[in-house]
Amino acid sequence: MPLVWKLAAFLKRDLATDVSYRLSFALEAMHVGITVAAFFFFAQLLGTTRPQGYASFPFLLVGMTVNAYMTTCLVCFSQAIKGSQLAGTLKAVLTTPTSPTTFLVCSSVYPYLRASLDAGVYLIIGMAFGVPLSGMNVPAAVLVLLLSLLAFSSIGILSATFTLIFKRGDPLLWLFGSGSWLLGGVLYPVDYLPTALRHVSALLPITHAVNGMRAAVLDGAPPGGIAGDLGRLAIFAAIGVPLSLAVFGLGVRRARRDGTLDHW
Amino acid sequence: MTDMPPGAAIRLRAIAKSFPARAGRPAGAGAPRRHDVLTDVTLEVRRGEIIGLVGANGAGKTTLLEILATTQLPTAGEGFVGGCSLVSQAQQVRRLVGYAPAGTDGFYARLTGRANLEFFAALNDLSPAAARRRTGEVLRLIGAPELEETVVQRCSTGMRQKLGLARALLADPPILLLDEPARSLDPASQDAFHALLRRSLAADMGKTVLMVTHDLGTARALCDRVALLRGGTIAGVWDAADLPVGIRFDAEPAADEASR
Repeated sequence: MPLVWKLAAFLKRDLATDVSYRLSFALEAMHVGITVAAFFFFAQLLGTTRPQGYASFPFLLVGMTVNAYMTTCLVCFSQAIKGSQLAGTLKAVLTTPTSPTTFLVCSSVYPYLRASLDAGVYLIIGMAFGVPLSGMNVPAAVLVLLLSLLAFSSIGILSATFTLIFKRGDPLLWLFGSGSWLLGGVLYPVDYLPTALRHVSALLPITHAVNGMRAAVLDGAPPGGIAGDLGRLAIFAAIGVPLSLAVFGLGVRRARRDGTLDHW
Repeated sequence: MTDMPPGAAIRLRAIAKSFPARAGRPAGAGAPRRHDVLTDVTLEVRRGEIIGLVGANGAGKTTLLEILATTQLPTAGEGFVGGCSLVSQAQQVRRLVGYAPAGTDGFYARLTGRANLEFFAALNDLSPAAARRRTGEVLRLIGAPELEETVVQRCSTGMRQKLGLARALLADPPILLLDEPARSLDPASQDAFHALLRRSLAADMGKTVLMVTHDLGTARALCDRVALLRGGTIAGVWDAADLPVGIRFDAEPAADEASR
């Protein structure tokens, strides 16, 4: 039960903080709306081009949605660490019986919920621009979302460890975020990439998240129909999450040894 | 668990702590790679006593408290709180100590005092109902019920200091680590704090208190014993009543001064 109480406490804390910045909700919804509108008009430029067999705008819409979701998963862990260091709360938290890992994981739940909500808003606004979502296979889309969350989170946790130790200039986040944007098939099919880069693309979880999500949302593919993408995401998650948590534990130990837990 | 002497709440043996000379940067040629803050701290704190820790700025008082609060690891030596190792049983140690740091940050600025305390209560494994109840109790205990509905960013430095003390008491720990707990309090609040510490926390509740202070008058009035941290080691421990009047934080003690 204490874990549930803690989870609830983190959600309550983050919601209360978020609500205290009332304008941020409206601005974020506007940001999503403007982004979707911009891609809608950009898609007009592409005319009847059908990347991977999809109409241009739905193709771009799902790519952008997954990319925004990934970005949140990547940054929310390091933001939890950095924000706590800046507020001076990290040490206070770590003098309680709550483990650093529990703190990190619980801190990410509210951003995940916000990111999932944002993803929904992307798709709903997309519907308003004429994207048909009635055929979406919801279980398959949810599976892609959950496995993507775990796969992206492993990189996010490594990034948080980097923030804890080196404080600034996380090359991992930069490398992974830029690499995913360039090679992950967000804006164009990976078939357009040179062969060598296509091999790199296959190693990025976003490639499979975007593929699986497009198939589930736009084609109504069932989980069995995207088993390949789901399997690869599951492998990323199964290897990445335990590995990143172990590295984070070592990072906390090093920060305790160096006395730099609250340095930033 | 270790075989602590009966009646001991904290036991430190030859604790040392050093930091990288320049965190994150390679040391220059000939420059020391580590900065020694604590070299050999041996100290025993008895259960139920209030012990003051005094010393010059930079003597390592806060570092020692943070080692006891498990946010820092000692470089060498061994320490036990309630019989639990500071290094290998840190999780258990955290259940035994409440730590009020000297700084007045460490709270979520846009939340109320109650919301902050309930959050930290949950981190101390209290159920939501127990967290609500305990938050009210500790704020009443420290005589600051007005903090309940005050948003932290509107709190004065003194109010935040009280909130820090309230947080340290949330889980009702047997051992309190207080870093200059009355530094930002007005005279009336200081008197109230002294009464709280002496009567309620120590006498009634039997808590063990290790308190950093720069004020020797406060140390004499409040503490059972006073330890002087100097040169990275405990230079002397006195019964508060016997604390030498002219004791200096930065000079070697006279041969008959210390009675560890």
